[in-house]
Order: sequence, then structure tokens, then C-alpha cells
Amino acid sequence: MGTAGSTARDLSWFRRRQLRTLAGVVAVVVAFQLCSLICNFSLGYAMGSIPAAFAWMFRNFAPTAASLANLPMVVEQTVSTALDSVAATVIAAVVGIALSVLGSSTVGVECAPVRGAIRAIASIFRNIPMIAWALLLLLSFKQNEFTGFLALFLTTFGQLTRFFLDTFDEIPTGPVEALRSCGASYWQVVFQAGLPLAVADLMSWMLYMVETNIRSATLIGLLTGTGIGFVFNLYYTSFRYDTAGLVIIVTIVFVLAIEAVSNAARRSMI
Amino acid sequence: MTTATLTKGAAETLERDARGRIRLTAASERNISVQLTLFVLAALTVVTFARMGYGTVDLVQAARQALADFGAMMLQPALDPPLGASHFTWATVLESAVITVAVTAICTVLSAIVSFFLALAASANLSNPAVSNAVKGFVAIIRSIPTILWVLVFTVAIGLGSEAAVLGISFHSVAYLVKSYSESFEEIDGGVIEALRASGASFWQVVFQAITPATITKLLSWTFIRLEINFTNAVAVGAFAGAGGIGFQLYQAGSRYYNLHEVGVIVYVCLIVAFVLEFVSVRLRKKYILQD
Amino acid sequence: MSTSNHLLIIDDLGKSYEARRRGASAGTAAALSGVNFTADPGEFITIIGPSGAGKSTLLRSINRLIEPTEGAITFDGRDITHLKSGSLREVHREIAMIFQNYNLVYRLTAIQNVLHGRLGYKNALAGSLGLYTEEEKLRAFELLDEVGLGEFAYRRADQLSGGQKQRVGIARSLMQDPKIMLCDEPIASLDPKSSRMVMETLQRLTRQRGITCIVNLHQVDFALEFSDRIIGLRAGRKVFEGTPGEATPAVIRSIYEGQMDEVVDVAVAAPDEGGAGIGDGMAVPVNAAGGAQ
Repeated sequence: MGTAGSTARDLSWFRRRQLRTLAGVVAVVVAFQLCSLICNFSLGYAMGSIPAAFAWMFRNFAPTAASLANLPMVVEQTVSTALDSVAATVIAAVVGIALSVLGSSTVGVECAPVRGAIRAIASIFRNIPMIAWALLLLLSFKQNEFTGFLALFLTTFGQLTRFFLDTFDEIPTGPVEALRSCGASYWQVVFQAGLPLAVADLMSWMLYMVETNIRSATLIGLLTGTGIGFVFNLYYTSFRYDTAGLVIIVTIVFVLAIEAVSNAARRSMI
Repeated sequence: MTTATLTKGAAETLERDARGRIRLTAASERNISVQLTLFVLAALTVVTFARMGYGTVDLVQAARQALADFGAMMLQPALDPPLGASHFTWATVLESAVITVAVTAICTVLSAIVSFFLALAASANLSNPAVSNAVKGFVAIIRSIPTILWVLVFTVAIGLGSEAAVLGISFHSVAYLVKSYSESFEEIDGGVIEALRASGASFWQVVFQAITPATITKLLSWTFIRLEINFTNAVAVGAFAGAGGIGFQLYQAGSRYYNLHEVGVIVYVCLIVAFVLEFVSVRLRKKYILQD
Repeated sequence: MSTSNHLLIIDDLGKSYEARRRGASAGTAAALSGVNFTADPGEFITIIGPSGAGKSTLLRSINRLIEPTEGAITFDGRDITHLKSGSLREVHREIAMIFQNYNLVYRLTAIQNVLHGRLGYKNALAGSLGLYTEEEKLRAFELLDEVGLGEFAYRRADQLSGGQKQRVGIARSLMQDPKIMLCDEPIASLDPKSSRMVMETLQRLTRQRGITCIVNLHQVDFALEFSDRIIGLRAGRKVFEGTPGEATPAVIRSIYEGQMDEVVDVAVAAPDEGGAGIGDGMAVPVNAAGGAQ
């Protein structure tokens, strides 16, 4: 009887699972259709035009001899975009690490409202759209590279602080307790336990942020009239597709190179 | 002078630096990669600031104004006069927010489905090395091209509209998810797959009976993280894709009407949507992981 | 009660938690109540009892890692029950602690972990930057040597075995020049051979220096073998106190009433752990200013 009972239960469990999967699929399909209606999206048109889009890209984006003359300028702009990403990340990391140490649950300050405030600040800065930062700063700092850097810094700061907070929250609490019980002071615990335990992950997040920021810097450059985003847009909107294609190729090379270097750095830090 | 009596082994282990001070890490085992990386990053930062164009504005003055502008944006958001200028109604702002959320959802669903199959091909333990490396390489190249460039390319190749925005965002989203999904697949214990294959299960049976159930929580988790990123991207590219959406309104308010109070309203709407997405995704992640 | 002779006086100590769990009836749950005992310099005391009896709470209340809710703690003639963080730091450096999970900073070397014991004596800046004097470094080397790990000084903590990690933990505690060592299940994660090694090291080094040692133990036979005095805890209350001779099987059974399956019997293991044994090799005098003489 026990066997029969458990079999019946198993069957019903399987059926429930199947039903749940089915319900999930139906919900996703319905939601997808609804969203398509809302934003006037045609799946058929989108999918159907991908081959044509790629064919168009390869035909038009192939760099020509004329565009190669622009290579030094494109490389220079790519370098400056990459450097802006690094600088924004480094400065944001300096501020972010201070805030995340104070705000973390493991090595943070005792005062809960302070910790909460730090988390709220990080969350707000992270979620304010990058365009909003760029537009806001354009009004006062005008169109230049520094404006782009500032906008990049402000969004990076929010994101890095959140990643750093997660990192510090996850370090083992044992060594922290051990150092406190030795009579170590607050900053001694932070520097002798908190940072050594978190350093590999902190660096990893920083390198990740440098990689992502190159993409963000491209977008911000469109608005601030600097860097690779601006160059791409300039040639693209004046139908000089060969140079626009060159920009894409140089970007790919740069990003892949930076990824390779930072992966090597990550591996050597473990 | 303090002296200590050490056993031979300990005395031989003890190392001193050039100034005769006792080392705390062995010279041969020192790992300076953290210091080296930090040094390189710091040096690059210095170089950046040295060669950066600062424009012609007085930076102190500009900073003061930026702070005041930030205050106007965050503390006095308004659509209606006197602060606002009635360029937008609440209906248009909310409608465009809904459109952006719809674009986000479409991108996430599409890229999740495509990525699932590509990730199967990219996983070293499910595919053959040539295919796996080819897919990984292809995806790395796609990922290295900024989202905004994809969007700009598609607006010209297939015309302005939500399709260009969706395709542009999805390309990058697919590249991200293939990497995350295939890493999850590769963490599966090889013995499970081998056992099922040995018992005569077909490839698709292995996929749907073993691999999907074993990784579903991780896949969903990555997908929800990407949902949040896709929303950020949908806002960001909104101004350029011609698909409408809250990003376009934001661009209009800031770049055409120069009204920070209106920008403020739109920013708050974006913040609320982002918080809701984060809340929902954290809840769903918890729910799915608890079910496991 | 005369306070002058006792190093530590635990008087009517209690700790209760607000019942916060949903569904539980409102009120407080006592993890510890009415515990009294004293400890004299150089004594080796073990606390035994089933899990959940409050052993860990008791130990952590003594150095105020957990704030007790009742009673008083007098340490070295000074009431430390309500000390603020500044003076608590002074007390902390005289009360060392050893943990079940060793709690070493795994990315740092053994010697750096031992030197952490000095942090309570250093100013914030020097301690934060890890700037130790040559005397301190030499002392740390000597202590590592004493626990048999002189040759492992430059190993990263995560490359050491469990027994070695715990001996680094002991060296770190001794680096504090403590008057008391509190050991929270120091051998619970170790195999019998390493356990014996750790217990012997602990007993030998604290006895040499006249340090009082209070150890939470799961292994009753180790408690019987090593202690001067045994305290039995059950459900947050002291149910036994006496010498190992007085802790008869019947007494042990009453402490673990209904939970006898928790009593761990440990096979007698050989007293060395392989690798660098304690005190082997020839002695080489080294001074703080120069190399080996």
C-alpha cells in the first residue's frame, strides 16, 4: 500500500511539474505577443532582415584604402576611449572601496542607518540612466572629453560600489571575528582581514568594469562629441561606411586585447 | 638586542631583505600581480588626466552649476509649469516607459532562447572542440562591439523602429548569455552525461532530461540579471533607435528642451522601473532557487 | 568571595535572545543562565556538553564577542561586563581565542597570521599596514617554531593542513601574551592524530607560560585526559564541575542525558603528525639585528 501511495504521489508530482512548465511557456508566449503589440515589433520582419543586414554590413563596412588613411585617427580615438574607461573605473573604485568597506555587513560600521544610506546611494547612482548623467553634465561642462569622463565615473561608481559591497558581504566572517578578538582596531581589521580576503574579487570586478566601460564610453561619446562613439557616428551619418567599419574592427581588436590581458591578470591573482 | 633560538629548519626558512629586515613573505613566492595591476591602472589614469581635453569652461564654476542642476533634477521634478514646461504629459511618459519595458522583455526572451541553443554548441562538454571554440570566438567578437554600434548599424540596415532596437540590444545580450549559460553547462558533472549517453539516450534527451533540470536555476538567474542590464541598455539606446521609449523622452527633455525638472520626472520613472525589476528578479531568483 | 586569587570570575552569567522567529511565541529564549565558575592562573579547564548546550555562547560571552544579558564577568580583578570598545580592546589582547575553523586570513602567510596577534598592541596605522618590529617578527618565528611550523612560516595559510592551521592559530594567540586562552572546539574539524597534536601543543605551551586555558570540547576522553577541571553544561546551565576523576561515566551520561550518541570516542593516536616535529633539529640562535650566529 505504501508503494502504491508513493507512486500515485510521484505521478501527481510529475504532472504538476509538467503543468507548471507548460504554464510557464504559455505565459512567456503571451507576454511576448503582448509586448510585441505594445512596441509595434514584428518578429518575422526582425528575423528576416538579419541576413540582409549582415550582407549589407559586409558589403559596405569593408575598409578601403581611403579609409585606412584614417587609421591613426581611429586608433587614437579608441585609445582615448579606453583610457577614459580606465580612469573612470580607477577613480570610481577609490570612492567605491571606501564606501563599500563602511557599508558592508562583515567589516562595515556598526551603525545600521549609515550602512543603509550607503546602499541607497549606490543603488540610486547605479540606476540613474547614463544618458541623464551625460545630458545633465553637458549643460554645465559643455561638449568635451572631461564631461564624458564625469558621466562615466558617476555610473561606474554606483555599479562598482554595489559589486564591492557584495564582495565584502561574502568574505568569511571567521577571520574578522578572530582579529577583533585579538584586540585589533576597526581599520586594522579592514586592512589585515577584509582587504586581503576580498582583494582578488575586487580586482576582478575592476577589470570587468574597465571592459564594460569601453562600451558605455562609446555611447557617452555620442552625446559629448568625443571618442570612438563620436567618430563612428560622424562617418556613419555621412555615409562613409568604410571608415565606420574600420572603427568597428579597431574596437573589436582593442576590446579583445583588453579582455585577454585582464583574464591573464585575474588568473595570476588567485 | 633580542635573540631567539630557532630550530635549524626554521632558521633556514627565515629570509631577510636587502636591509637585513625579516621578510613576511618568501622572495620566491611573492605574488605581485595585484600590485602590478594596480600600478598599471593608476599609471594609465595619470596619463588619461594629462592628455584629456577639459574644454574651455571654468571647472569650478561648472561643478557648482552641475550640482545645482542635479538638485533641480532630483529635488524638483515636475512636468507642469512653473518648473516644467508641459512638453510631456504623464500619459506619454508612462506609455513610453511601458514601451521600453516591452522592448526589454522581447530582447530578453529572444536572446535567452537563441543563447540556450548556442550555449549547447559552445559548451566543451556537450559539443566538439572545433564547434565549441568557433562559437566562443564568434560570441567574443559580437560581445566586443558596443551595443550602441549594433543599434546604429541596424537602424540603417533595416530602418528606424523597434526591430532595430531589439536586434541591436539582443546581439549583445546573446553574446553575454551564451558565455554565462555555457559556463553553467560546463560545471555539470561529466559522469551524468556519460551515464545517460551510455544508456542510449539521444542528444536532445540528455539536454532536456539532464542538463536543463540541473542548470535551470542558474540559467534563470543569469537571464534575470540580463533583464536588468537590457532595461538599462533599452533606455540608453532609446534616443538613437527611433523606437520611442523612455530613453527618447529623456533625450528630448535634456537635449532639446533643456528642462531638468522634466528630466527629473523621467529619471524617477526609470529609477522606479529599475527598482521593480531588481526586486522582481531577486524574488524570482530566490523562489526558483528555493524550489530546487 | 575573595577576588584576589582568581583570574576570572563568572558570576551568574546569562544570555537570552529575543524570540524573533515567526510563529514562535513571543518572549525570550535563554541560551545560557545562572552560570558560575572561577578560573585560576595556569588552569586547564574544559567545558563539555551536548551541542546547543551553550558552550560556544559561554565562551564568547567571556570576551564579549557576545553581549551577556545577565550576570558579571570579572577578569584580573576588573569588572569587564560593561566595558566600552576602547577599554575592551585592552582586555581583548589579554584574552586570546582559538576557533574551530581556525579563522586564519587564508591569503596571508603563516607568519603574517601569527603577527596578527600583535595588532591589539600596535597603533592603528602600523597595524593596518602590517609594519611590525624586528623583535615582533623574530618572536613570531620563534612561536611558529615552538608549534612545529618554523619551516612553514612563508606558506600561505590556505596551503596548510587543518592541524597546521590550528597550530598557527595557537601561535597567533600566544603572540598576544594572553592571560587566558579561550578555545572554541579547537579540534572539532580535525582527525584524531592532528587533534592529539593540537591538544598536546595547547597544554604544553599554556602550562609553560602559566596561561589559563578554557576549552570547549566535544571529545569527552580528551577532556578527561587533558583537563585540571571539567565543567558540564546542559541546556544553558552548569550541571557539573569537578576534576576528571570525579567525572565518572555516570556523571558524563547525566550531562549528555538522552544525547549519548553525541559523545565522541577517540582512538588513541600516535603523538606526532609527521612533517616537522616539535623540538627536533638542532637549536640555532638568531638575533633580531642580524642573521644566524
